Amino acid sequence: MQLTTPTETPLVQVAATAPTVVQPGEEVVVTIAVEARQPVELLALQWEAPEVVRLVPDQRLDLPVSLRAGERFEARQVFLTDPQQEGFGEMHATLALRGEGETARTAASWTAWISVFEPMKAPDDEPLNDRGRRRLIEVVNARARNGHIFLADSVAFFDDFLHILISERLAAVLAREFGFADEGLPLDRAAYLRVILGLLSFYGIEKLELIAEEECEESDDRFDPDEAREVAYEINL
Amino acid sequence: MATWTADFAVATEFSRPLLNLILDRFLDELRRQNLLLFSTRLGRRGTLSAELNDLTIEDLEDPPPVGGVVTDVQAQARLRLRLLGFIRADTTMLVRLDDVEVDLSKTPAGLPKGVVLRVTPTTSATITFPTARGLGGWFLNRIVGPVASFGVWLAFRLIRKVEVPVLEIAQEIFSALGLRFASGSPLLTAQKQVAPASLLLASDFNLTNPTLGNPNSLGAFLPAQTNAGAAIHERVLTAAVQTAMSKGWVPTRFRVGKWKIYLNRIGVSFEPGKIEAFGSLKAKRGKCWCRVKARITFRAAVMPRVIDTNTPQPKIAFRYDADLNAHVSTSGMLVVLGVIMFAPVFMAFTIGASMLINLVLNQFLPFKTSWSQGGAHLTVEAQSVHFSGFVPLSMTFALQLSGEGTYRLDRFRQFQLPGGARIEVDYTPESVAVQQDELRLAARLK
Repeated sequence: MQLTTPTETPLVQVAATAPTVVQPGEEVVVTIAVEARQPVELLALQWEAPEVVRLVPDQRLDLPVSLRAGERFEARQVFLTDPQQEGFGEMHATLALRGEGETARTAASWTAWISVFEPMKAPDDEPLNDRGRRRLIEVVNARARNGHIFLADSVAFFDDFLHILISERLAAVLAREFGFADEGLPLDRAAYLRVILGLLSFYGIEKLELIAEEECEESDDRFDPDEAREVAYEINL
Repeated sequence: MATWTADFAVATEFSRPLLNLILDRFLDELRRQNLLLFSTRLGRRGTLSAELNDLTIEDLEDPPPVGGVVTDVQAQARLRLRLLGFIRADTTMLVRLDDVEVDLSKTPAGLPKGVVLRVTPTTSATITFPTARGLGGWFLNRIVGPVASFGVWLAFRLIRKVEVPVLEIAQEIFSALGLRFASGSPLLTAQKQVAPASLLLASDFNLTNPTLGNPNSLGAFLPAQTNAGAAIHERVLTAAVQTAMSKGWVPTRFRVGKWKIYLNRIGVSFEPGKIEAFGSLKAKRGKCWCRVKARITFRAAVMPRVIDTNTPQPKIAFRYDADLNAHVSTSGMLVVLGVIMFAPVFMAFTIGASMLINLVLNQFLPFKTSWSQGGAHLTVEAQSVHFSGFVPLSMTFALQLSGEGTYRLDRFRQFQLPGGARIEVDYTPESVAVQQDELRLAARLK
């Protein structure tokens, strides 16, 4: 999916649009639209990206640039991926700014997720294969927000973050199997997008992690009363 | 912000007027049993009888070092004296005892059960007969009164039977939870910086990470309009909750819909205005298409407040600390959270209430927990395992983030002292309060 990540500071509004998933060898194109809320100078754009993507060097950005209130600046940044490499991670962008007449720098920063996976079609008549399951576990466990996205709409999550296409028939089977309808799931599209952007989360859940079922030992199911163990008995009345 | 527990595991505070009220009720019972009537022959010259009418703690003080309370006590008695065939007195006698020790009485097992007033050899006594006039008054005040040894003997006979039975139940709760006192506990002290003076009792227990109370920081923590309060440190509640779960009083494995929930770990923290539970659980279902199990790290909190205080059915109402603009939930997850939150919320309120009033929680323990879902609420019920006559204690949890759960306090409106005297319990909007690390329950006993 193409996801637009909005960011606001007192100086600018930024909308950065990028895919959430591509296939190995495919370019990741990020378009950035900046609108000044006050007179501002855009100084530099810096990226921190996972190894699976690399910024095309020497891309022209025409920075620094000064904007008056209401003026826009648009840029395009391209990242390359290796045809042989799958992976995922967060792409952090930082746009350095300086308000008119000010000496101190501020910044607008945002984070987007990128997955680089070969597209797969989920089998309708058999369980998810090991390759797909490994993607699922690794991506969900990579950061707390991904577990919430998976809960919000797991079928869309497979497509948008794992590059695994779920047929409508399988989606219906999964919805029935997991009792999604009884739980008000999946969330509607607007709520799903808010979860992706980190604006909405499932109350009470700090992190959802997935464990391969064969690695889920029964002995790990025990309750641990770690704070209720006594120290040496001593009484002095 | 001042600490309530002074880093002790638990602390209780009883105001001086409340102690006098409890003494009064206790004396009523003794009087009904004729245990306050004393008589003696004065050789062949006459008889003397006295009946204790009233006993008042006039002051409470803990002189340095911390940990020994003394008080001034005034006893009022009806004195009947027959002497030499012609001297007859039937008058009120005031016995004022300075520096009476306040100490703990103990159960046969050595656990503290009450506060006892103890007359010591250094206690000084002054006896007056305020209503005696004329020659009789002169005789009583100048001749009988100065017989201090007699006065002390009489006061001792009267007072040593009197204890304030406020602790036994609370301590038995902690025994039932398997918590033993740490060295130096319980500590009995008093404060008079904040009027009225009050008695403070604080304890530490042998826990994995024991609290270490600071006696010099113990101070008054009762809110206005209350006369008894209990403060609980989050660490002892965590231990109590974990004990309840490891003993199976509250299940750690349960089914919600198609999911089996396995609670692995739970902790409790008190944050300003909130009771928070955090930990981890596993959620499993049979065979699933993804071939995975889920581990959830959870953190949820309820914000309690006391409502309907002027009605016969006061309640603790609580809602989740969710931000409705930023949080969403499913009914299944709220059932899981309700079941998990039951232990900390129920144990916090019930232990706290039991430290204030004679709830007989020691008979209630151990309990078993069940729950049912109806409408927008989950009702979780705790029922005594051994004592079928005890009406279950139940708590409702909202199945909507915007909803409110409740815990009825009308079950905690009245209690009996040993001997049968009844005490009424009133609540105020300040009866429940939570600050960093500590929860406080307070009530007005009357």
